[in-house]
Amino acid sequence: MKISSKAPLALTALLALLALILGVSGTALVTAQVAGIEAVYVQGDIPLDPESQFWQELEKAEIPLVSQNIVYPLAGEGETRKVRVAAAVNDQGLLAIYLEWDDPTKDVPVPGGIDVFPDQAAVQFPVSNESLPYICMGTTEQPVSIVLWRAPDMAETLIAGSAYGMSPEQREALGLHSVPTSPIELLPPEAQVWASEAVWSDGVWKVVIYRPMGSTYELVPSLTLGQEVSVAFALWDGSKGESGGKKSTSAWFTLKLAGPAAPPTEVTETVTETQTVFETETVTETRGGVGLALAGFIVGVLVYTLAVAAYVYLVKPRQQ
Amino acid sequence: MVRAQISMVMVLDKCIGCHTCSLTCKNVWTNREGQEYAWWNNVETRPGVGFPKVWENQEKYGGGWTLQNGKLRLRIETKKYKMPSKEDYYEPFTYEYDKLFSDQLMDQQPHADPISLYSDEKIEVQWGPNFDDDLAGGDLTIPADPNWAGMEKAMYKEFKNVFMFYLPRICNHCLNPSCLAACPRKSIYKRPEDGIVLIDQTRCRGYRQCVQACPYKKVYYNWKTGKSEKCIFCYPRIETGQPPVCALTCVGKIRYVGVVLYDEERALEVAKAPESQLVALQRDLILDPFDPQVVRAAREAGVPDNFIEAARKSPIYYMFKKWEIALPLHPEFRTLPMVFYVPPLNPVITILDKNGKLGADYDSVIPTIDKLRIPIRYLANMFAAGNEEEVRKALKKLLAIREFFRQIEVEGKSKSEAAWVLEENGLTVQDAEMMFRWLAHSRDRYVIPTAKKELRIRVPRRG
Repeated sequence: MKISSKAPLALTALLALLALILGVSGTALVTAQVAGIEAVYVQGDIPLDPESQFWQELEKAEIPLVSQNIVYPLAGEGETRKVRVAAAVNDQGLLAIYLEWDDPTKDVPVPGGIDVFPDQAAVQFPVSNESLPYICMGTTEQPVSIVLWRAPDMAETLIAGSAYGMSPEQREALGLHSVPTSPIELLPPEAQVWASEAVWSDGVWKVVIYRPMGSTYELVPSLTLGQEVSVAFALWDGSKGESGGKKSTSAWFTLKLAGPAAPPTEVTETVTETQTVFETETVTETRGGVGLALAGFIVGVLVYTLAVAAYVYLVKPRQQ
Repeated sequence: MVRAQISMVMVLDKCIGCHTCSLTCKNVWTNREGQEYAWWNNVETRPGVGFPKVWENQEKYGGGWTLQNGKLRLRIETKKYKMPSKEDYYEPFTYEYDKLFSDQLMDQQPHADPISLYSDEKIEVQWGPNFDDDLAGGDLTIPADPNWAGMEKAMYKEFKNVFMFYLPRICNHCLNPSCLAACPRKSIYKRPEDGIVLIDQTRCRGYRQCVQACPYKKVYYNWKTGKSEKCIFCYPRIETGQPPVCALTCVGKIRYVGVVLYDEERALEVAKAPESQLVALQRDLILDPFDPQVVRAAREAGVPDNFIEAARKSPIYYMFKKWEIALPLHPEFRTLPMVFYVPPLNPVITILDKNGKLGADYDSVIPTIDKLRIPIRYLANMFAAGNEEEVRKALKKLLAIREFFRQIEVEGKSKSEAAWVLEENGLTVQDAEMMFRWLAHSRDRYVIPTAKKELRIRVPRRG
């Protein structure tokens, strides 16, 4: 009797712990489940029309998103959404990300649309690849670079989290207000690197956002071929009145920017490639360190959980 | 902490419903794309539904604060409310004026059709910001007025033969603004130097939580810029000692502008008061600018001397605090609104009996307040969170001053002979003379101290 009454309790505790582990280490675990996103390498132009055959035929990673439920205002009833993602890079140094998601209503600003909330999507990148920033739009120490796409066709390059880590002089030098206007800030025109092409048809948004991979602006991360970067996604459904904190967000995922497959023949290009490989290696090493630490942590928590379970199921009943 | 607040009183008996305030405000501030539908200042006919439609019904809009277990909560946090839509406001329109000059010669007179300012196409005009002006649309719109609460349905039908009045509205620049509290980006701030509530256009990203949270629906979303805007109390004018445009151009000279000193620390506690005490306690928040202790505390808090000086001559101080003839609009929203209204008396029913004597409906020489044409209950619902006593007190004083001057002008009595009418209602001859100068002659309506930028109070930087 005693054991059976305790069993559900112990099970619940176990589940709660598991949930905790999943929550804390969500990044690593989910990344393990979804293979990640592979940005294919293209020789020549990447088609920017979201409906082009190129994008439609590419394999897409399905990224789950859940309603933001940490800060007021909440998005309301929790629900799961999915965004299908593909990406491409080319020899001209362009990165294009294709986002596709189901949305039965096309919400775009219209004259007099005072109760219209446009559909939006965002992709978040760490500013620095040294370690993974806090998933909820970074922290002072680890800011994140965000591209916000707003229906029908606006793409803004934003910075979040950096606001309070810099002096007014540093901020002014970067073209920002000397005093932060908000935790998420619009970068100055010279740092607006993203552009977009979008189509809504038959209840599906298809959006291509693209930017040059290189960046000279401090708060926009510079990307290189062959590199792996972390990305996270967010969606806003305008018809549900979503804006700001009312949104659905994903965990961190890995976006692998492929390099040219065949070894180049020309000498000059070889030099470039060597550089690329070198950078890739550095990055991988750093990320490997974090991965190991995370794995260690997860194993630790798992062992602890097993120990608790064993105690509750095996040792405790015997004592009684 | 003593703070200064720029504030306004509107004397409703003097409003003639000409909408000049609305139009001049529009011409100065909102005559541009994105704000076509916005009326930072508007004038409503009461009883009526106002603008946007039935804005006072917070069951529909979810504005203001609600008291839950002794704590203030934004109503929008308690339930999901629908954003006010174009249908709740209106589709702004102009007319094809060109057609009047360019039309072909015909048997009929040329006419100008209404065209939408949004689509440039002809529209059937369904509603406007003052569509129920002068009780137009009577039986359809008037029963929807939320201020009928607690009154008999039979009264609704009678009203149009009996009473109406105008209600001009601007942002109330509240002491406990729910718009400010609702903004997740902290884009809204209350200026510490004069209490004007403003939206920082560089922070705002158009989430419109302020639009929902303002119970007066005085925040307007600009669909062109994607940011929200509101009445700014014409602060560039105020800073240079000039009245806001709505007050300056008021034909009936109904608007009074001045400064009051108040106790900032107690504001939140007052916002949580029981409904019947809301007006009295808000009055209590306003400090006496002649009290040396208050003056010292004000100086310590950085209130400039010219503000303290202005507070002593402030019509708002006298009308709201000292004489208690002005009342806040819907204090039950618990935002502590800082624009006040002297409730309307009109028209007083004069009933003389056969012998030319005052009838039984008179309380000494003043008609029993409950026999006035505007139901006390209606005014109390609007200006005193249902507390009829507050309205009675205000109206009695207004009648007393009329009776005092009637006795002097008509009956030829001296001031001291007539003074008893005032004393019965807690007023002095000096009060009556000040009231007369302000209310009847409309002199010195604006007592506005110029901004002391060099002494500006700085608030800590916000995250």
